[in-house]
Amino acid sequence: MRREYFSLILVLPCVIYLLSLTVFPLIYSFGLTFFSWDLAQPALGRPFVGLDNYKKIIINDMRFWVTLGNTLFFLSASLAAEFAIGIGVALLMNREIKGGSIIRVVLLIPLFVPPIVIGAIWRMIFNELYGVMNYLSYIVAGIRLNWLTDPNIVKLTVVVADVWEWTPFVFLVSLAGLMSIPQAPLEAAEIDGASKVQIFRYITLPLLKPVLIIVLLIRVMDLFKLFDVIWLLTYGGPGIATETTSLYAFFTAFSYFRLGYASAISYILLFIIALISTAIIRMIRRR
Amino acid sequence: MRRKLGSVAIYLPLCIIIIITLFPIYWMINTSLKFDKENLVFPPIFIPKELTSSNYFSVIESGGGPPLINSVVISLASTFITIFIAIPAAYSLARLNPKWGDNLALWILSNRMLPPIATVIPLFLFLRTLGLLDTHLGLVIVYVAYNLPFAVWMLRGFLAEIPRDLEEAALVDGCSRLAALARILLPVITAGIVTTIIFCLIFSWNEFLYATILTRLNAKTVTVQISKYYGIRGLVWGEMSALSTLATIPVLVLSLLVQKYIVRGMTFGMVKG
Repeated sequence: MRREYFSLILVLPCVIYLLSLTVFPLIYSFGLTFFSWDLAQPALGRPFVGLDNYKKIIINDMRFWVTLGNTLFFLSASLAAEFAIGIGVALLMNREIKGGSIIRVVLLIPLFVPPIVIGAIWRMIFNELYGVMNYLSYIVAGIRLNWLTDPNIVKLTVVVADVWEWTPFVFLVSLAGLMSIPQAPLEAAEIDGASKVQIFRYITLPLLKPVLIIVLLIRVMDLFKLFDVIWLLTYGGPGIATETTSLYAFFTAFSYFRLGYASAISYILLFIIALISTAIIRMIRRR
Repeated sequence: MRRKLGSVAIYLPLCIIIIITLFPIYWMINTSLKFDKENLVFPPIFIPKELTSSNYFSVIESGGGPPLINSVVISLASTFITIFIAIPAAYSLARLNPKWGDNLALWILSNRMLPPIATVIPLFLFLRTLGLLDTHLGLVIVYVAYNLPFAVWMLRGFLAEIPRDLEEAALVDGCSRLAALARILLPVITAGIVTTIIFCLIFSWNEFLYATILTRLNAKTVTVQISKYYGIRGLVWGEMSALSTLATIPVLVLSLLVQKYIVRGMTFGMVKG
């Protein structure tokens, strides 16, 4: 029993720190969601408005729904590409390869580059007048595209940058998972005459599933917070074509100074993330 | 013949992937070493005829130095405090009975999963009230909270792998539990502690959202400084790329030191690679 108390004392500083810097702020901003507070108009004070902020967001605020749609688009498109390419490259690398360990180091570089730098680099590459991307599309297909200003294309531009940054993560964990798969069932299946596709579909993939779900959990939560790369790449534009809900909450709070309304937006976002991540965690625990 | 075809089928896609991975990095460095009159041309110049270091000088002259120093100071300070709080917490969670320990650990992790935009609005108001906006201390305090869940999970994983016998032996020899932690356990997981430190440094260094809201001039970090290169002064690609390169090199060097535990680091210790 004394040991338990002792352990609790050791963990206490950490718990108190997190309580005061995340839980307390969250409770405070939950309170804010019931007020109308405009920092730019201090004369109006901070009237209590009940559920009005939530009502306005859900019923009247088209911009909220557009940004949520953008977020979900980036989420699904990026995830699909990252998992397909990441697992594919991991399968390629899961064998004796000359210089394999160096190749692995090289392929992981994007994970460490500051996201704001990633936004800066891709903005230069996608620049419509001087960018490399338009040079390539010009010599290959004879066309130049408006990568950053055409509302239909710009969404893909954002996905390209995210896929460049995060595919290495899927690759990394998949490769680690592949290398820990026991060889015996694979060999048995091969002797029994299973094709490569069948082996992958019915043996490799199910064995890989536990780590892939963890990757999915981490990626989903990160994609809901998508912010840094877009900041420099498009700043949410043109218009709100690439604005995520995180960016919208940011603009509402720090450009329009409507703190109550912004808090309500971020709370709805928080709620959605919690809902989805709980579902994924259930999938992990059921195993 | 078939074997040859097989190895082409492996190496060709790998080469393409490597080129796609490295090209943006090459382009950043390439742009940083050209004059802007060579950057803003079509077709783009892939291999510059003459290289210049002028962008690196002008980026420092135009105020790039202090943000770099701020990033160093803030990353180091926040990481140091994080580890100091995380070690005892991780030890406690690894040794506490699982009923408590697992739930507490999950709660700690959930703090990291929150969208920063939800906490940054109240944190902005708190720091404003305390007069800590745009100070090093303010950002350090926030980054400790940002990195703590990660550090606790990493260290807990490393500590849980140490056989209990090792600790029990030290306790029998009359060590107190804290002495056993400091003298027996921590030396065993030195590699784990170093890995955790490096990841915390990288996360703090790369962070942008908190930094851009909570700092302005005094304490602004290098990521904030890079973000200023759009909109305000038109296209100054050379300088922006020079500062981006300066901001990227330290992280890439650090990342080389954690290759062995990279899977763990990127998954909060949930996957042991």
